[in-house]
Amino acid sequence: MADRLSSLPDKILQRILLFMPSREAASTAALSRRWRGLWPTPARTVILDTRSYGRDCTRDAFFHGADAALAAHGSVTSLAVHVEAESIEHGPDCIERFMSQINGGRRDRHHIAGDVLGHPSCRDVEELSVTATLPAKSSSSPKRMTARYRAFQRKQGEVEMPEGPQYTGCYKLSLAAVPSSALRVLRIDNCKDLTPAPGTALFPCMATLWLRRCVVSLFTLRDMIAGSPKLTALRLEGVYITTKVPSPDDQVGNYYGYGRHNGYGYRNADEVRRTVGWRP
Amino acid sequence: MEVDKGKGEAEETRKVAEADRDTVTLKSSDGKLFEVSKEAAARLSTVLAGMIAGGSIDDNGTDLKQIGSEALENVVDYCNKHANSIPSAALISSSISFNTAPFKEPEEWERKFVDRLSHDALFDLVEAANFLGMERLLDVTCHKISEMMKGKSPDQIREVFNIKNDYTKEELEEIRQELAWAFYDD
Repeated sequence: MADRLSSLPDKILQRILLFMPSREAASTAALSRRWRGLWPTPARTVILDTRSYGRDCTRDAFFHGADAALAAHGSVTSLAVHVEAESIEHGPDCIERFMSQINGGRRDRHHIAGDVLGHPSCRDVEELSVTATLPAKSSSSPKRMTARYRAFQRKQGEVEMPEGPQYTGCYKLSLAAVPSSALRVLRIDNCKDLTPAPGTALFPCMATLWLRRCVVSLFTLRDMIAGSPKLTALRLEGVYITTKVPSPDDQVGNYYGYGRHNGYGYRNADEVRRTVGWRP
Repeated sequence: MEVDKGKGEAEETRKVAEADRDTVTLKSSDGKLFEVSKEAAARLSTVLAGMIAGGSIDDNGTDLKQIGSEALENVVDYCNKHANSIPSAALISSSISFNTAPFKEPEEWERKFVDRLSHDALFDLVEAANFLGMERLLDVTCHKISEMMKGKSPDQIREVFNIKNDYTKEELEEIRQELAWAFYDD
């Protein structure tokens, strides 16, 4: 059998590498001389995925690899971060702890916000995706909120129950950590608390905002939209919009929602637009 | 009255079709002819779009000497399927939003389309897509190849694709040290 893969032109091999997590893409340099120098590719794309570290991805290995992959590019245009619960140490809040471990109130050595999103190579990121998945049966599902959510739904009688595992979000992310100056597309999945930046965040280039299975306060969402003058697409998929900023002594939070607005071409697009104050 | 009107419309349509056919005929390197939707061909292939716009499409079969009949059949099949499929919401939104590869996930039918191909047929299709400037088909086929490489050690990848390791032991050791962060303990 001929080696048809290595016979493809450089630009096709680099296109293949773009679909692979950066760690695996970089390691193809070891295949043969043909593969040396193809990575990093001119597309300046970095994919950080815990699954590329085998079944037991340690924080040390992940953050060390992230730093190396980002530094190798100098400047990154497109960044995707994915944390998969199946590939890290399990337990309550495992995603949250993996992304930003707090030890007795002190920040640990590694932190997604500071060490990845705050990496000098990410300053001019145009496309950013932060995603995480929990195992199907998770001990960290916010049952209390779900119960509240159900009650809300019964009252409203117009919002469908989400399918699949009953949780919304598994990590916190501060908008202050998101490199915003060149950001054109932002996708965030499964974030349980999207916290606002101090002052008003400004996303001068943002055209698309896509939140999926996130919890976000109405105020934060309004601020983001107000700070994104070029926004042309807003996609809220299974997003829980809270109307009260949770305070430390408010354990449950006051989750009135506009509930869950489904997918593309929302069922209540006008209502969503009115609610979040978006006039495209 | 109604019947006459319908008839008139049908004739009108036929006249338009004669003047401006909605398919183009492509000829493989081994002389086989394939018909493909003109709209889909122009939308999916920059090279075919250029030929259609430039009037260099031959009604008796446009020669594509670089592409064998099996690969051309797959290309045509892909174009025709694409012409008939309604893109999913996810595809629409990801294609309007994202420019770069990791976000351009194939559709379910596109996955199935490349999954059924043999090793050689897959590479024939990549080369044909590259030759015809078919960006979307290149993404779908490149994504498939990346799936075949993911989660494998360099040794395993070499085995799947029959890649000959032409490094000396010392060179390989050097690469592994240079990119120590990128290697499993394999």
